[in-house]
Amino acid sequence: MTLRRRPITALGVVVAAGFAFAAPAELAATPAASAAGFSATETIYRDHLVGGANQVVDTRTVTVKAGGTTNLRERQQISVTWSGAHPTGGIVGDVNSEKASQEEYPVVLMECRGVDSTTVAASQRLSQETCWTQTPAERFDSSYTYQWPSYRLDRYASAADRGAIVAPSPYPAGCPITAQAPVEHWVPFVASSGQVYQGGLNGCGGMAPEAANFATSTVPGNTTYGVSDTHGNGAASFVAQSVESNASLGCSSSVKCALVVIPIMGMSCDPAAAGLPPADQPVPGPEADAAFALCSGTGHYQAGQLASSSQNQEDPAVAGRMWWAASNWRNRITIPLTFAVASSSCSVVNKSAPVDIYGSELMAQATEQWAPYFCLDPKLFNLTHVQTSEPEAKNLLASGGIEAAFAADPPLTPFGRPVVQAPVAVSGFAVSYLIDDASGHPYTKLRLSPRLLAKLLSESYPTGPGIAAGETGIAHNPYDMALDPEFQALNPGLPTSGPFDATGASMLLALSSNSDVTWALTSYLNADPLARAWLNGQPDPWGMVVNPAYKGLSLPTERWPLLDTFVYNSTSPCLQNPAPYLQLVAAPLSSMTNISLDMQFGIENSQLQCVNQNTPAVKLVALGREIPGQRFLLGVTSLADSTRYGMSAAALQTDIAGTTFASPTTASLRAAAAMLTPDTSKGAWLMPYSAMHSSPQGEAAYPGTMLLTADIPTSGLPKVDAARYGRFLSLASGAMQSAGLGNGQLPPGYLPLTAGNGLGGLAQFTSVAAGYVTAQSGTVPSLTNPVAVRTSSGPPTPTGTGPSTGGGLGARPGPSTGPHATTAPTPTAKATATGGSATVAGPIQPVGMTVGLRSGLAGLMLPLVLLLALVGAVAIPLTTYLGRRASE
Amino acid sequence: MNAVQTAVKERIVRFAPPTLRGPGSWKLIQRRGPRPARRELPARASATVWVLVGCCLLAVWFLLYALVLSGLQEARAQTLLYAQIREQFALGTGPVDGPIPYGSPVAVMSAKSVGLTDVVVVEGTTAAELTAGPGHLSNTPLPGEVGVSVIMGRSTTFGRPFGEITSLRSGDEMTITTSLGTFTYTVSGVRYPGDRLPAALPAGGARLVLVTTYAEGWRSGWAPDQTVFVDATLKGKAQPTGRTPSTIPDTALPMQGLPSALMPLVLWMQGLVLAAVGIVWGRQRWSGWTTWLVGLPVAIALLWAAAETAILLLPNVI
Repeated sequence: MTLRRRPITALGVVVAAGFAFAAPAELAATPAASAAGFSATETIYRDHLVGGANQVVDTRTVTVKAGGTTNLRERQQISVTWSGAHPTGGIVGDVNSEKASQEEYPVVLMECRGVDSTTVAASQRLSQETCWTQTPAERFDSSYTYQWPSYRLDRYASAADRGAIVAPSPYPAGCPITAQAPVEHWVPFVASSGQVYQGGLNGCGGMAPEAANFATSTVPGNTTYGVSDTHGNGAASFVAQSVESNASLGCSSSVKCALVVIPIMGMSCDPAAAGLPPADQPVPGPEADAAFALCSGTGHYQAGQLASSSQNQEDPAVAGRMWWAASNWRNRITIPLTFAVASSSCSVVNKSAPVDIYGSELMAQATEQWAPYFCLDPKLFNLTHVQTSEPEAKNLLASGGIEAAFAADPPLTPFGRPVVQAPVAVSGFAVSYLIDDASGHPYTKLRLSPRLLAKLLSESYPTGPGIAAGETGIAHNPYDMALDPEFQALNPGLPTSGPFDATGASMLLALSSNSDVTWALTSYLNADPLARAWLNGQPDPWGMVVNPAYKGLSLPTERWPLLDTFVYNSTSPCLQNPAPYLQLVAAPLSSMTNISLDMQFGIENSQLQCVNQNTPAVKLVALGREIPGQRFLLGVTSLADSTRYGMSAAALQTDIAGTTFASPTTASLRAAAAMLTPDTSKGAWLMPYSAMHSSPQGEAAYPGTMLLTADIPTSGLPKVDAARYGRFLSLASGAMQSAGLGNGQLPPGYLPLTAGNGLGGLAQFTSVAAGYVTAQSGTVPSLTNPVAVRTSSGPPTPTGTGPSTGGGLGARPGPSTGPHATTAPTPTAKATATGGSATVAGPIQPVGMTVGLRSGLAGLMLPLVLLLALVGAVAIPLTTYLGRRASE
Repeated sequence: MNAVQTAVKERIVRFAPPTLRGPGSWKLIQRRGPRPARRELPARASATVWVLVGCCLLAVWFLLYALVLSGLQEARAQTLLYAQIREQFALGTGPVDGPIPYGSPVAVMSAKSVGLTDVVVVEGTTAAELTAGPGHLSNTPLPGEVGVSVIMGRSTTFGRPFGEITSLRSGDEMTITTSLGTFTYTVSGVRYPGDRLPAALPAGGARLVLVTTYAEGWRSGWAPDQTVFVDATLKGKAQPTGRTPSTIPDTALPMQGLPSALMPLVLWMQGLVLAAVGIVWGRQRWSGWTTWLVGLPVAIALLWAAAETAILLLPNVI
């Protein structure tokens, strides 16, 4: 059993931004959710000082807009757009890479600690030294060739910053003085603890631990060298790093940080260097002219030109890596960021024993905001969400190992005790994707049918000719989804082959563990007649067939099985240990948190990269980050992760004909939630998947919608805990059902249970259930007519033919017509509700009937054995007799 | 040919390898004096008959083992377990805290009205533990402790310890002795599938649920196919439980077999085949009696082990 305790965000991951645009879905734009947008306009110059005269060579008016800069949480995406910047040249695909720092005229986005004001104390002030970069080259410049690199002519730099050697003193021990270049400029990084990391060539002078693994880290840094198009417009999504993933930078609710936007204009040069020490003044004449020519360069690339290997030397006068030069730094636009109190801080502020709720990762983003609401209120308590898979949490709850669980579906085998399944949120799963279109920009209009999802999950795309030749069952299928005519018909205009990795286009990154999400997803597939028929072996109109290993697969299921067994005969040393190839491609992950991480950064989990070749440690690892601009990746994430981390979520087909699709929006979630049907035998509301496909109101309903419940027993809990869980349910049914990014609110990706959303009935049930939990009544309220439990003095437990407290065995909710019923199920307490009465005894729903376990094996084994003996007893003489007759 | 020579010749002929003559010769053992000439069976018919004989014998043996011999085995296990738990009670070394090893004795139960007398309950409820007697479901509190305790037992095989518990009537008393003392439970009723679950347990109360199987009609008594439950409530005060509930394997739940027994079963069956080959081989070389003297105990031991292992594959509470 693997349990991960909150905060899950203490993953120690370092973070990145992808190309922007993708801020998905209207969900992110719920009014309360979109924090006050930031907008600023500034006129910036590049002006040289030549012969004592100011020579303005470039003037631009840059407008920067940013959304969602308040109440930030770990890894949250901030979308930034700008206009009026200098067009970018020497463009590289990955704007977060070290190579991107060599772009010419990028718009540099970086996260910096401090306040950009001269009125605050120097220690609180934002400077180049508190700005985060991932690689050493971004804060170090040196030259063996030129005595006068551009920074030495920077007219806005201080005299000290224009020296030949601007390096720490004493020279750091890790850097051999013999390797020192004639001209060097260091920009150290000051951590929030005050420690100074000098950086230097390849980081020889020391780097912050979060930056130290820049060469091997699969997740990129968040420093972004945004690209402006030829009109000077651009966009990027910036990944905010909190103290949880970047302690050296240290941004948190108490440490102020800012997003600094530096539109690179190029160096403003001062070849005369009047007033500087003679050593820092170029000799007038050819030396000064050459220095000025170098400093006043306007780039080696055309605007919009891609970086090429033949022209691999960028013009340092206009390169992004010179962001720290005073000429560039002065042009910055600073966007203050505020971070929310993270749930991880609860263990610090509130030392009381936590109240644990285990279960669904779909609740993770909600509890991230709910937990601080509880722990910061001295009258409340410490609420901890221990993320496990839903079935595991339900099993633990049934066995009494835990006291409360978040889940989406009722358990497959009923709880053997009275348990309320109280709705706490409507959310669901998203099929998140990162697909770049022909021009290398993220595609944002993906539409998927259940059959396409079935094709991806059932390992029916062979990924390439090598596999197709060996795995004969799927030999004639398209190699990947991009080549599938069904996909092309739904998503015209995407490249059908080409730069993207066919492996990523052949699989849907899904969960390897049991999960209610897999149950919901496969219920959706199973309810679609076309997808079901295809899984049963009927080819699609273009002739694609299901992988024979999955033919007739029984759905829905809590866990998607990996069934293909084809072993690829390859010369790769890693594949000499036979492993089913398409299972390596599918490579499901055990938690949705990991899937979200991979989807946010475009990391391909297919275990096909062979490392440590020719050593005993040879092994297969994940393929790693796909190249931005060439990405094709799909994964099943939670809806809340998808919006929090700025991923695109696919629109899913909602009818049988394939004409209507619904993407996750407030409206489509509301339409789906309106279809929830109470099932009194299971004690929960269920999603009618077949009705969603066939009925008109299902056309607007997002099929990934799931109702999340807090499953809490109403008997057997200690009194203190029962009261706390009751309090939780009470708050979850009302105060905490407001949309927003603040603590105690529901972030985007959740549909609040409010009357306005048509979900007042569910909220009322939860509110009533809170009383049952507090009172430990031993009963559960009726789904359709919840009536408050008696709260007056006296035993809350009805006597007599009350429901079960759970023998742990043989309990089943709902009525039964067993042959041995000895007592008729009768309501145990009369509904005596009168207007205004505070003590109302509700109609008690019968909680359980004994369910018998039958075993055909048990009943038939001995009779069959006896039959065998009897048959033998007859057959032996008969055979002897016949055999003898035959031989006569 | 004198009488002695005739007798010797007949012995030689009688114990010649069966494949040479066919099984019809078994009748000759009963016969004295000269045999009438019998036609020999063709080889294929002979082989069929031998296979049938083998299957038939195995089936009869399995029935005999399941319904009779396994009871002997359980009786012996109970004797040893009783001695063991008696010592634990005397020395106070019984399990009170922490996980209890599967198979060790935890309680002695009696229900006089249905003839259960001093039956030792072991820890664990997979098919393997239940061969020694009733088993305590290890994720429930021990009898006498606060909460719902579950004891599962076989109704048909291995001495059928719970074969008669469906005759318990409301109000009957059961006593259970554990390391914490002797507890008296009052039966509240037998619960068949479809019956209402018992009333809520008051705080601090203790209940005992016995689980076994039953069947109606022609199956009754020897081929049960459904679970049945007996609820009993503790008279007097329950002891606080000191153990944290442990997780259990699926095979410990009612009506579950022990699939892991399949591999040993295959090995035992291979052993049986080897023994059969050995006996045939021996009869071609040694005298018949010598062969049987050596072979029969081996064969019976292997048959016993194979049948015991095979039963583990069946649901645990039959």
